[in-house]
Amino acid sequence: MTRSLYRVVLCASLAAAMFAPRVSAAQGFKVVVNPDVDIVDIRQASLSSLFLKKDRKFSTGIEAAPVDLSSSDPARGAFSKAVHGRPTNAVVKYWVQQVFSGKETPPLSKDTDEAVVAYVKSTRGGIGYVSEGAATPGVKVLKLK
Amino acid sequence: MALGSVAALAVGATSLRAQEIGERLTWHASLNAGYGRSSDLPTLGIPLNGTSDYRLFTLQTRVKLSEKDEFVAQFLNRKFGASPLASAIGDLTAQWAYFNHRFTIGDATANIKAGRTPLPRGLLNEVRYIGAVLPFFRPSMEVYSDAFDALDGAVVSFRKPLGDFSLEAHGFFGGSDWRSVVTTSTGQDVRIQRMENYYGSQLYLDVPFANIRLGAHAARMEVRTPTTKGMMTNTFVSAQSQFSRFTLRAEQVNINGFAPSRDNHHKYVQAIAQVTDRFQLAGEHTISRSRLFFTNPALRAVLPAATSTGAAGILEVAPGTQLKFEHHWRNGYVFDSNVTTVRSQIPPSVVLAPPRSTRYWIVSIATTF
Repeated sequence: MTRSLYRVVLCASLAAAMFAPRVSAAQGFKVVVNPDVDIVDIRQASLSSLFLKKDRKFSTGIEAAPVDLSSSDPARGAFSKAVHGRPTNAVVKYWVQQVFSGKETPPLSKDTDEAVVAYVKSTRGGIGYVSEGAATPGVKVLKLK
Repeated sequence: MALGSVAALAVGATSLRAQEIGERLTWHASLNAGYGRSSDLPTLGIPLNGTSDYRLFTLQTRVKLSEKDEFVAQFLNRKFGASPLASAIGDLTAQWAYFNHRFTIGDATANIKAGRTPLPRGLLNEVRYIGAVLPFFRPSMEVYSDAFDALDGAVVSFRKPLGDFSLEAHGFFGGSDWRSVVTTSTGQDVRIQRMENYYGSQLYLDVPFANIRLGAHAARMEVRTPTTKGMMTNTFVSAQSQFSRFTLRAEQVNINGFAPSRDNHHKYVQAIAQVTDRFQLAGEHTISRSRLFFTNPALRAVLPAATSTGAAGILEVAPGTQLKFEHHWRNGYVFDSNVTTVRSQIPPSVVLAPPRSTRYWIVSIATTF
């Protein structure tokens, strides 16, 4: 019985792999990073790990300081689906689970693209995302691999 | 003028101090409150005539002591309806109170918690009281028991990326409580057993597709009661996947040793479908089996202690706030009233009494901030 339970989960999971997130060209957001972080691109899985605090450092060794947009922002919705592979409310639930597990607290959250850009610009290891058309003075736009 | 300047400075310093504390101190709370009613037998604190005395409230505070250190305390107010266990549960308890220190080893992040800490055990142990992240009022009671909700001791944790995979490992040592209801010839007794010299580990592997998480837990502990003591082994395996609009979860726990009269094996499988952005459907099936041992070693029996099937509808009425309606069908021998398990034990056979059944439902609201 146990084997069959786990088989069901495993088969469904493998099937689900086909629906794993793919970052498309028209993604609805762009990723910005502090200019001192010496990278030009980042893989989707690595980006997800940094924002979920599963990984705390960039490949260069600098500690990451991620910043989110508020949960109702459309760019956050696009980012959650493309990068984390789940809707924003599932990501919010992940953070509730982390907080009440005594583990991590969520990244800082900003209400506007301008606030995200300002934070990323002024914070060592700062990384965030803004809507596709937002101005990004003083920060570097990362290419998603 | 000078007095005014001093006063202004004092006010400035006070507000600066308040601001500093405000930046270092965070609060989180969760509420899970419901009304339940059972049809034929009282179970899980839910009587036949219904109860609204069914609530879980947690208040968590975190004080950031430095970039790497924090103090966390979580208080719990718990009401368990008409359950015999209600008498063993305090109105307000310090569920957790621990110091947490973060550090790194190479590319692995690590931390050590000491005090009364959360116990990593399965997928849901630490959030067992947080209704907003659960599809039902609580995780499977058979699998999670009324036990292991905190560890008095220390937990060391590591998280290491392995390419696109991620490994999380926890090792722990300490003591914990186990509250249970034991059926005796005179009725039902509530037992609070203390487990000491409790050590073990929990591993999780995160797989980079379909948000798959696999877990394995093994622990050994010394169980102490006023009259006996003995060693017990506890193993727990877990699998979870979250993809598209679905979440699938399955877990199994095996408890062996100490209790000389039985070994316990409990498992559940759970599925959650996000039907619309604000509405979810969930289903769960739990199986609990106990292997009974008798004074006469020729006698053995497997007791189908409980089989439970549940279904729930979950409506998000506001961001972070859910209204749930769940219905469960329960069959077996474990209820809040005395149920006969063995009818006769004439070697070489054991005749079990017929299993009993009930249906119960809970309507509840769950929220966090």
